Amino acid sequence: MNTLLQPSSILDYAPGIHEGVPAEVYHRKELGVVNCGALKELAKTPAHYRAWLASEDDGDTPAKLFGRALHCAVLEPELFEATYILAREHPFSRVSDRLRNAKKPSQGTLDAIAYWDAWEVEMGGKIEVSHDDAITLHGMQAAVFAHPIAGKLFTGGVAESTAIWTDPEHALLCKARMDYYVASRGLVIDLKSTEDASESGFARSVATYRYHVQHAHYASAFQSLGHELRAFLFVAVEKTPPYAVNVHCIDADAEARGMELRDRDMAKLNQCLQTDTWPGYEPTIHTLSLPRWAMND
Amino acid sequence: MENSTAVVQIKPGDQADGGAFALAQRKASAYAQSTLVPKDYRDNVANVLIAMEIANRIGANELMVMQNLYIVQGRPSWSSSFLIATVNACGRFTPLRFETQGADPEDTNYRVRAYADDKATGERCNGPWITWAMVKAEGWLSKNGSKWKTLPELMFMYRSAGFWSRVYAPEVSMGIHTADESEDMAPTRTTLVGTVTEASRTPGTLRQIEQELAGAPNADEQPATDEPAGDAPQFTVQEIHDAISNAANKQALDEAVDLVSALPKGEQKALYDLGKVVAGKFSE
Repeated sequence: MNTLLQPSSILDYAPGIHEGVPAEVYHRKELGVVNCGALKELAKTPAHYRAWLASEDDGDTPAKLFGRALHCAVLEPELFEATYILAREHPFSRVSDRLRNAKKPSQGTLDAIAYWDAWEVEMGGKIEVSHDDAITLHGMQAAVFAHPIAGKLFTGGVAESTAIWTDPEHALLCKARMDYYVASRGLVIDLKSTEDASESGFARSVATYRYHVQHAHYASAFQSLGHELRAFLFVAVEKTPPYAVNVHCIDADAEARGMELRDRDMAKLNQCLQTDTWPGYEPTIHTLSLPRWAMND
Repeated sequence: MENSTAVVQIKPGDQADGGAFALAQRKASAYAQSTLVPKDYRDNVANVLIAMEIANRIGANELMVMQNLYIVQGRPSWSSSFLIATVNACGRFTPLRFETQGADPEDTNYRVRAYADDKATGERCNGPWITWAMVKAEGWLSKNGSKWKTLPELMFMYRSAGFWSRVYAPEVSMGIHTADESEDMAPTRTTLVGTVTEASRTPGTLRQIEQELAGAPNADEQPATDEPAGDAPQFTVQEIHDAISNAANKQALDEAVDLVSALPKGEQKALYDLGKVVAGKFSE
């Protein structure tokens, strides 16, 4: 395979760490190709995994758009102005296609069409960011850059590089998209926006969002590809003032647990692929206990 | 150790006696419904029946057994404090005591053994010494979450008590290990050292990374010169160009391309493009 051709699938790439893999190619869901999203679904049940695989992309939610803008602001600040534009208060409502195609549009409609056409030209394909989001983004970016450690982590590396490898134990093709990879230091840095960046608060996020499994997945990439990974660091930045920043590295126990969970779900996927069966929850009546906090309410 | 008054004595052959077994089962069902019994016994009549059997054999209260018999890695295991209490209460020995050598539990020469006097003969019964060499050789220290790292003094005493009772009063523990022993003896999680990042294996790595970063520029600062950042090796554009062009295999190519990120941004694109061209040679 020649990588100079336009690849349309992760399968078109050789094992290694690649830069410039288009986002739509990386995010394409493919049966048997494992990334953190697939592991998250497999942890529920194989039936969830198949449903996720078959589903259309959820599209851009405000949260996703904000997350992407934050990553751009911190990881690739030089691209931010070329990608985003500050939204403004528009004097006209958006013009529907029906109004655009009206045979005898009113002067008001013509003014609105002229305004929106001019705005589209000014935008030049950029993405609008609301005034409130822009303030938050600026605050979070400034807080990360001002942090004595976090501010220095996002230098000398590459944003959004993609690792592709075959897991040696499970013989499954794997992929991972790293927020920021500094090869010269052997560091992978993941930027997370959070409500609570404290050690205890972020530890809960690690457990809830399975960041330890993500960690295990990335560590597997580096081991399989023979690259050094000295540390996988999380830069957690809070979403509200003072946009407090904290840098975390999970401990060996958490790392081992992440590997255990990943290993379990990889084995589960292999078994499902071999038998082409995708079970949901165990068909039995489950006794349900309330969580401890609910008992003390 | 007081036996409960309403204990159903399950003796060998009782299973054939439908009445006694049914009675025991009803009692076990009642225990299993109780919120006072630990999780391993709740809604698990079979576990409760086993605990009742053990309680009868050692002459202990059933609820006490359930509250002190844990399931660790699938094995029934005593809590260490229960084992010591059982030995102290059995009446054959004076209460268990501990002999230590060395003042600092973290010193490599520190060791502990349990002892008690046989009341019938007055003979002093010494248990085996527990030493750091034994702790390390058995792999107890290297377990994930090992309490030997955080509570070494207590672990020395618990382990020496467990060993002592297995030698001098095996009927008390019935060969069941303590919960701490079961945790230490459980197979290690199947994680390869190579898959664990250096920072979590050796926490000193994080301090080292902090020191390295102390001299690095901030992400929002423009590089003052065209020199590579931080501690990256000082390769010239020409050297990296030659390394990519002459790469003998995929690994050599990857190593050469990795060096590009340390160059000024303006120099990078051409070298990455060259890397893609050379990569085609190895993947065809």
